[in-house]
Amino acid sequence: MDGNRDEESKLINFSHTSQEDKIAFVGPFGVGKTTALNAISDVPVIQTEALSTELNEIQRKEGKKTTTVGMEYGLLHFPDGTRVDLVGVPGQERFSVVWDILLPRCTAVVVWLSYESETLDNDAHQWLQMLQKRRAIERVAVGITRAPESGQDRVLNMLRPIVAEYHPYAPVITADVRDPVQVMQAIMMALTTPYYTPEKVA
Amino acid sequence: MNPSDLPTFYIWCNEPKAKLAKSLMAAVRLRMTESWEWTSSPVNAHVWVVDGASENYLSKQIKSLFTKCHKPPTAFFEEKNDTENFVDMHPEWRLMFKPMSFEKVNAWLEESLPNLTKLRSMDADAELQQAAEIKEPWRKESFFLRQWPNMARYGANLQLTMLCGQLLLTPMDYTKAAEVVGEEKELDRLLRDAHNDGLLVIERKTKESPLRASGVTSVFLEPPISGSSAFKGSKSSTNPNVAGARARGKLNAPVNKHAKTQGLMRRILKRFVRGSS
Repeated sequence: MDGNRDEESKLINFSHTSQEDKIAFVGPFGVGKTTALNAISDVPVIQTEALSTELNEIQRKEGKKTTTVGMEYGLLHFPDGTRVDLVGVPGQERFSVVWDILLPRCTAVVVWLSYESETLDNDAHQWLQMLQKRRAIERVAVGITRAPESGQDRVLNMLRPIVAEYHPYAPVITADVRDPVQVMQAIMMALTTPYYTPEKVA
Repeated sequence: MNPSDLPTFYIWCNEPKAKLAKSLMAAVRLRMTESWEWTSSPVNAHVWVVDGASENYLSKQIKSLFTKCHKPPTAFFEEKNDTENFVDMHPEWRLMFKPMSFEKVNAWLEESLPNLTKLRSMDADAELQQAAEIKEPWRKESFFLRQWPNMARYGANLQLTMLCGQLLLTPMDYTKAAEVVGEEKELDRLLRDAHNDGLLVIERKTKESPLRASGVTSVFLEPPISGSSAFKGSKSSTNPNVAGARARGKLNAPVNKHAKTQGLMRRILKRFVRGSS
């Protein structure tokens, strides 16, 4: 419990003081950000979930009852003593103040979007615009969750032109957020993508 | 089969203008499974034919040639009553008596065919390799990526992911790419897919961008493509969105940020990939 309290205090302070690398997971409500964090974090993820009234049909079927209402925090430890902060950013726009503080400080951002969303292209625009406005588009990857194998190429080809409007080299990848290696791959893609800084943000 | 499709074999003879040689060539050309030509270079010949009646047969040059370790199948033609040279000096040669006949030559070649077949398959291998080089040009030239491939096809391979990130920045040759990935099977698959999807750009020679050489961490090598089907086979993007993004931004990372990210990637690889250093 003391360990958890330590992590909580780090969570409160880290966006202002920490020099560690930070990886942020962003995306619409219920897309699987928490699951992705849980898949790779070395510590129990500090979650701030609450019962939600915004669940869709699929999420109800999957037994989801809660949604993230604040930041979530996890950690990756490395043998050399360094660490990476993993942050799940709440999906609802009313938490935009969290985005403002956190996102410009992140080493890389993964935008998670759901293949099953009927507004997938709009979701992509909305989230990439949000990152662009906050100067957090430099190192970004777009991860598509719940994509069947047969639909992978189609969804990637659909999203690539949209993503290229914001970052000409940003990768789009399909991933199972329950698999740590696939989540790490999305992070690696964000990190290895050529750094891009937009000159002017509308 | 078209005659031009037949494998070509070369004969060297110490007396190519002699009657024996002409008869020999006429005989081997009756065979339908190969094409036969003369060569003046013994080392390039698939078979040797020695005219024992020739005065130059025992010349210094030919003697030195016959002492080489790797000699091809050799036929020695001699007058009927004179086998002294053959028996004493070259027991591995096939002794044949004049006059020349198709049956004699054919029997000798058939007996030697295992070796000839081996040579034939070596020729075929060389042809296959040449064809592969044309089909897989990245094996001989340096290359880079215009855009990320669909990495989900390759089983969350982190080294391959790292390689693709590097290939977006700078050209690389196949050997170097294989070193990064650590194995060739998945690399070949990725390069073949990227080539087919129009994502891979082959360069004539490796060249480092002057920008990169001067310490800039990212360079805009070519306009990327934003939908593989739409750009298949094209050399440059006409996508106005991409052009717009290019016009609006720059692709240079501050050096300190770049170094920091490199360090993080190395740590991730070390932890998540067994055996990586």
